[in-house]
Amino acid sequence: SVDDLPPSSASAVTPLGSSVIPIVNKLQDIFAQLGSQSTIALPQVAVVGSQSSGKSSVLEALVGRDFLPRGNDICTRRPLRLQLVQTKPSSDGGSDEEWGEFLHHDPVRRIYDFSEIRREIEAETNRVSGENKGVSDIPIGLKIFSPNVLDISLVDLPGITKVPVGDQPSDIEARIRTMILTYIKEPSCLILAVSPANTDLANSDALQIAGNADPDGHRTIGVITKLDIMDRGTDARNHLLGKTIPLRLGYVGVVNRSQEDILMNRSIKDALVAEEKFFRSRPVYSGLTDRLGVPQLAKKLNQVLVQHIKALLPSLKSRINNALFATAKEYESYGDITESRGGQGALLLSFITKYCEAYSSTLEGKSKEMSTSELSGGARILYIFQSVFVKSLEEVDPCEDLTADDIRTAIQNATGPRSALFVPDVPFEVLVRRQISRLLDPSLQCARFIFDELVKISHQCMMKELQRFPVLQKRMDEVIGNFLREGLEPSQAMIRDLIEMEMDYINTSHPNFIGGTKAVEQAMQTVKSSRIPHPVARPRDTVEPERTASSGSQIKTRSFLGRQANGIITDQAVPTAADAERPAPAGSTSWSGFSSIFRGSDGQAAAKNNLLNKPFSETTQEVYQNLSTIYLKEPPTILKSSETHSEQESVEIEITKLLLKSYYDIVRKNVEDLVPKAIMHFLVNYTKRELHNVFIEKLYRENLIEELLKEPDELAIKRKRTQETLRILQQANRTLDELPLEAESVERGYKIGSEAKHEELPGTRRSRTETNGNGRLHM
Amino acid sequence: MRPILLPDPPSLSTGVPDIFEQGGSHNVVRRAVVIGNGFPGSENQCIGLVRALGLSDNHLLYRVTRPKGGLNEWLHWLPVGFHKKLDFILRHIYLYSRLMLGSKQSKYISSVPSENGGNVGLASILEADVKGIVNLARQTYEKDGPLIVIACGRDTISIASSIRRLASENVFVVQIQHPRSHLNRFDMVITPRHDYYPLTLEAQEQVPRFMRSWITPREPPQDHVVLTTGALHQIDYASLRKAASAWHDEFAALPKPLVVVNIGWPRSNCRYGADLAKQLTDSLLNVLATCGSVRITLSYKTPAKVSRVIFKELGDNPKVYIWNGQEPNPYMGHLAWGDAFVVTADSVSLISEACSTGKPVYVVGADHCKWKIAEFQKSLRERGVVRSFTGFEDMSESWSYPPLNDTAEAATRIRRELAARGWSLRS
Repeated sequence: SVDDLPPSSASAVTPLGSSVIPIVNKLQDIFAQLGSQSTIALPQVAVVGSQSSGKSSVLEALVGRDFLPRGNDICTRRPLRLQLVQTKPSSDGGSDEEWGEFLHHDPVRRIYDFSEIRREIEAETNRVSGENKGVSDIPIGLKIFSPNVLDISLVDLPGITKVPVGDQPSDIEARIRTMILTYIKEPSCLILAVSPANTDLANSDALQIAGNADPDGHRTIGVITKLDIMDRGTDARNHLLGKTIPLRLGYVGVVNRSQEDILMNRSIKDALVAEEKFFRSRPVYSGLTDRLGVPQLAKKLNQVLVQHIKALLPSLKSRINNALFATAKEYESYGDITESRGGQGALLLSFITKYCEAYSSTLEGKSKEMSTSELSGGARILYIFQSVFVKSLEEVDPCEDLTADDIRTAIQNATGPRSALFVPDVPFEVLVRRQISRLLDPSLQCARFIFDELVKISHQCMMKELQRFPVLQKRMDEVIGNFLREGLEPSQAMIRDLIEMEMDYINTSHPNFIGGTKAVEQAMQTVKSSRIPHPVARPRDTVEPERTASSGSQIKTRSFLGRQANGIITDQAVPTAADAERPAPAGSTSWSGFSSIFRGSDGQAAAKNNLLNKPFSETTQEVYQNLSTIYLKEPPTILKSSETHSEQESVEIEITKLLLKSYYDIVRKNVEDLVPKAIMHFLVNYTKRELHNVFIEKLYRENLIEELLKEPDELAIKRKRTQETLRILQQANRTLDELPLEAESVERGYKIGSEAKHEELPGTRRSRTETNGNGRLHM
Repeated sequence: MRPILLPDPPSLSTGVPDIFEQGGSHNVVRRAVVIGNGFPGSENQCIGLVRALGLSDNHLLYRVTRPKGGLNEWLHWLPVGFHKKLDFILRHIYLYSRLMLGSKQSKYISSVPSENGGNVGLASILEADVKGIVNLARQTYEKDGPLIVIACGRDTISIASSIRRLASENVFVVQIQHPRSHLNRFDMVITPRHDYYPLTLEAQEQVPRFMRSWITPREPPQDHVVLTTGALHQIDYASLRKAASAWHDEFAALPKPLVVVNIGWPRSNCRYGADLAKQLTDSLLNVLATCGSVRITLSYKTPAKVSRVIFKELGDNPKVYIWNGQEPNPYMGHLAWGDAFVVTADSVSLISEACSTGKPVYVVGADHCKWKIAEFQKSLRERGVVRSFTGFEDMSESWSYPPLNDTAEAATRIRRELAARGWSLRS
């Protein structure tokens, strides 16, 4: 029955039961669980005003019950988040009970005695802000359930005070202003600016601070209180009409209970009746009934809030969606957690498998996370082979540190005490072996590079996923590091073998080898063409006819006929060698022996050479001393071949060089081809094939699994928190989905809403037409 | 596109007719006379006060014009009345001598605009004239009630005090800015607190003893002296609201927070040049990440060496807009829509206006100030109204303080003083 109800709802006979406010209330509860982490600003109404401007009285009148602390000085000392929830009245099958719930109570309990609510607010305020008028910005959450209220969410903020009292700091006004601003600065906040009529509106603190957050007043509702105590002869008509200070949402004038009324325990219901009477008795306020009185304020607030929320919902929805997406992704990155032994084993196994897959796909260039900005994985290996290894081998000139003198000395040493009739093979072989041995180091280095590359690739695999399990990551790194090292050894051994093979047998029958005859022809030509501009050398040729170019060439041609049949060479070469009274240069001689021929080829060899020469020269000296009195000049300990080149010698040197280059090219090509193959076979492909087995063997052990899959504590906490956030956001998203967003779906939405949430939204159907009729309140 | 605002429909006349107002019509102050000195800074203070008194639609502006140009620039120390007479004589001597000598060059005359552009055409503003104002006050007293006279600046002192002497029964004379001596010549004196800085021990240490008697003020404030923190101005909540809706289209869509930079010009008590401009631009670039957008206004007196640096450093920054001086001046829009302000330390009025909004105000270059302005800066800083602009601020942080409310407070004092005389202001 209408008479039982306080006038606030009795006169507001058409509650605008839109479904949006309960939904926002729900969202508020949902986000309250997130605490301060919540970055999503929900639509709300903040009540601002100077101290004793009547903010709390306005709130109480809206609720229809006394429940707020009151007094002459500062009463509201913490922000009070107040949610009014309309319940079903008894006439509609519900109950007329009214109660409040504090959000800081756990578990939530219903308080039916409103004076107890007041005491609880006071106690809770004192608990945080101290007994003596201190102010705090930590809000108190209170829900009021009643059939007599409209769905509104409000924040009651401390009043702007000028003079500090009690424990208040000297900058109390600045602090309260800053606190108020943090609430009303959010574009989602509606501002209820309460100014008393008995002060100058142009200097109203409430409107002033509202203007700081909302310059053009599109989300500020002006409330003018204390219309009854204005000076005689003055009225607030122009204020209410917005002529003094325009506000897009307009003004509402109210008459609150006076302190006297409160002391006399006059009820709010009586006060509302008195208010209505007051307005009716003043002709100046006639025609303004739509902006006078608490019931009108409640109605207006509800309408504006509904519109405001509707305007904000699309962006709110998208923000919640974004947050949901981000949180879901973050949660995913923390992975699942399995407790059972079997599950953990399977997890480890899948990790190993995934790791090996990632490893091979990175190598083969099938990785999903392929970079477009730089080479990675297998491409880097190819680059090392081609652009690093092969390229640097190609750039090496086999004759670069080989002077003509070196070659001549080698030739002279090879022919022994006689002068050579033919160009001997030995210097060529010695020199070519030395060049081949130079290829060993870069080849080994290449293998080392590839090894490093594989280690790098292994680190990149599953990096994100493995962050969860630092122990596993460490162990996997160890295992793969050792395993790769195991693969490096055979590949390096193979490379050494390859180079030794090349040195051990100089295959002069290789089809690509230039061969003796061709080399001689080319050398002759080169020497001749280079001699023409140097006629100075000519006379010498005639002095030594036995070394003429023609005879020399004849002999040498024979000496290098071995290209057709090796035997011929040996047959013809053997007499020469025998004449020289030294072992035949058949290649059976040890390496050290050969290298010792070269003066200065390396320090050891030179030293040996000296040792060999010394005893010989001493004995000859003794012999000569006994037999004759003619003394010869002692030969120097280190002998050098004569410094001038004959044409013959030049040809010989040129031939040796040509042979050297040709053969070196063949070997280099072999090495360039075989070393990468060896590395791929023994290191890269081997590890790729065997990695999985190795992991299984080394890591998949019953007693290891638990230790390997141990997560760091912080991660577990993070996962839990993200899971919670995710749950809340999903809840929020579902809540929002219950709401129609499009204008054309409003009608249908109400229907759905009223059916789905029947017990929460009484009178929804009744209000449908009313809401649509209020289209002028669109913001 | 500005929104089209319909005029209010005529309202029902339900108010009480004027004649029944308390105390009869001849006790109600309905109009004001403003005596200005031709400087916008001073006249702005008078008009601000008129506005706060609710008389902005019924006030007359008179002006005292000191002769300008040529020799006159050296004669500012003369009392303005004597200066005008001297100027008159000089003019005639010059004219006659020119006639006698037949000279055609007339540098002196051409460079001297006469009073209030008198010979240019329409005399829109009346030259302040003691007799005229006194007559006005006396003759219309019965019909229109008492006259409130508001004057600002040194040149208006003699006229304002003469009006009070001659018509003390009919006028209430308010002098803004400290008149040095004989404060009892006025009904009320409104002056910034820092004008009394020379009386503090700290200030006296800076001045030799024999000089002290030459420095304003000579005595501590009397009862009828209203001390303000800053300058009076026209900015109040209602004007900001109006400006906000007028500039809605320009500012509503700008990325927030909107930081407004107001640049004044160096003066004797606060000297600076390109160095401060560079410091300002560096700090601005430093905090730019926390700003949504930045709008800069330069004063018409800002020296080129300062503005050059500003344009060079920030001219082509996409977040920064520098007002090019074209009307309409966005100053009010900036005050209404700005989320934080950066102001150069030189200007008491720019700072006072920004601080009356209650929004964060950062001052740049306070260390360049000395004497009274330094005192002003210090008092604001101590009250938490302004902070120094260092370049390390988060401009999106909002902090607040009790807004400077000097104009309204001065108006309240005037109301009280009028009430003591049995007069009231038209409400």
